[in-house]
Amino acid sequence: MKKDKILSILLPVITVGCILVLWSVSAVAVDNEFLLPNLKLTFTSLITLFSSGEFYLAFLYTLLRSLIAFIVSFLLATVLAVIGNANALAKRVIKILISITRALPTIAVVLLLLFWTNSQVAPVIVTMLVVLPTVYTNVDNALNEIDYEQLQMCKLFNVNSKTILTKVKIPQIAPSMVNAIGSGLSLNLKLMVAAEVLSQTAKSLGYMLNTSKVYFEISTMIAIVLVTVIVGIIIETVFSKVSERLGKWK
Amino acid sequence: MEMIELKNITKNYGNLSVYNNFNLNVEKGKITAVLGESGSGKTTLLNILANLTDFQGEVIGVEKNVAFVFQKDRLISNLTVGENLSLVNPGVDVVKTLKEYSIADKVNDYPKSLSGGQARRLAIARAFCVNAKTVFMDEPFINLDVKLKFELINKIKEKQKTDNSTVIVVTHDVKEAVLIADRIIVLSKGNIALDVKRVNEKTENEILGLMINGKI
Repeated sequence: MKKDKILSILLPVITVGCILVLWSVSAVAVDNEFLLPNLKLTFTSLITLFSSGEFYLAFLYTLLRSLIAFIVSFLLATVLAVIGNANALAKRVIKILISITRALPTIAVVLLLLFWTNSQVAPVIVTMLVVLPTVYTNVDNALNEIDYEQLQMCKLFNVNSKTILTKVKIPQIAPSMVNAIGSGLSLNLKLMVAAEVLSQTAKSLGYMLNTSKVYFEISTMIAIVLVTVIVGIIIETVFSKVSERLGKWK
Repeated sequence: MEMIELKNITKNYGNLSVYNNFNLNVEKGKITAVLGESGSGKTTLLNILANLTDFQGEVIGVEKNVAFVFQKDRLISNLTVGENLSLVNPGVDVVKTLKEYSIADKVNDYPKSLSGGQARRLAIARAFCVNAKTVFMDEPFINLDVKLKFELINKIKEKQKTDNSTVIVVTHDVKEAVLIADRIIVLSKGNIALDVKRVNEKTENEILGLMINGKI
């Protein structure tokens, strides 16, 4: 157990260390800061980024859009999963709709949405659509974590519906649901930045990324990517820990 | 004498007929054991009595408040041992009840940490803590060691007497049936093959003899 705990701390540190060493060696080998800036330069760009008000504004707006897209996607996925679990025919129809959504070509959808809406709204809708199939699958799996034999037992012992919901159903789906929210939010953020790049959304990390590309500020681009990756990892880790706590009975 | 009555029960699983116009009367306030080989319809009979499955026919005399010890314990995995009891009876004295079944030290543990015997004790404690007038038990002693089996049989008999409840136990073990029941019904292919209304020390050998000779 103790060995496992030490490994769970050491392994990420060693992995990140290896990536940084590989990066440094590659930067020395390439010897061209426009192609691959070294760690020091990227770190300086990161500090510059953190000292600029524009970055925080862009970051906040990107997070906000991301959150809106995810909430809509999550609510929609939950409604669809609940309907699907209540009716077998509806589930088959929902599966077809989800397959169609999954097959949508992202770039084409962004371009179409830019015609129909604007650069602020288009990334939100496209992110919501791209994330929906994954969120739906996760929510559906979480709903299937409910043990129906245990529910039958509760009904037989005349446990009331409210107690069944609060003490059995919700606690049984909560760990998987929280995990699904964590990984969904992380995926959502990455997709949002990509959609913002394509949509040229003002006040966004995607826009900053695009501007850095135009001015060959590769170190700034990598710094923005780093921020996105770190925030994604933090979100996933926090939600995973909460999920572990909620599922201590498993 | 009050009775639980099953009248003209017909139950099919697809093309498989389990019961066809089956009739049975079970005396209330007694322990009745239903014996039979696998597939003889024992569990289906309990499910019909507890209204857990669709069927044709009529069941009379089963009160609304019943309890059930399922073959799989069906403990709520996300609730502690104590919470599993208070879920079905919020007013129960959890510690006192668990003490009766020798699992009071597990009150704050989750079911995953219980041994098979402890989980079974909890399932039986749960069934008797709701003060139901009718208790159904589906193979309650399966996979238990002999000592625990006898201990639980005595406990069930004691509780049944105190509560004056009707207990219907399904088992495939003749010895278990003889030890626990006032009456033994042997099922075979959806029919009553033998009905022993007075169980005594000779019953086990009589049933085994009939089984060995292929008469039931």
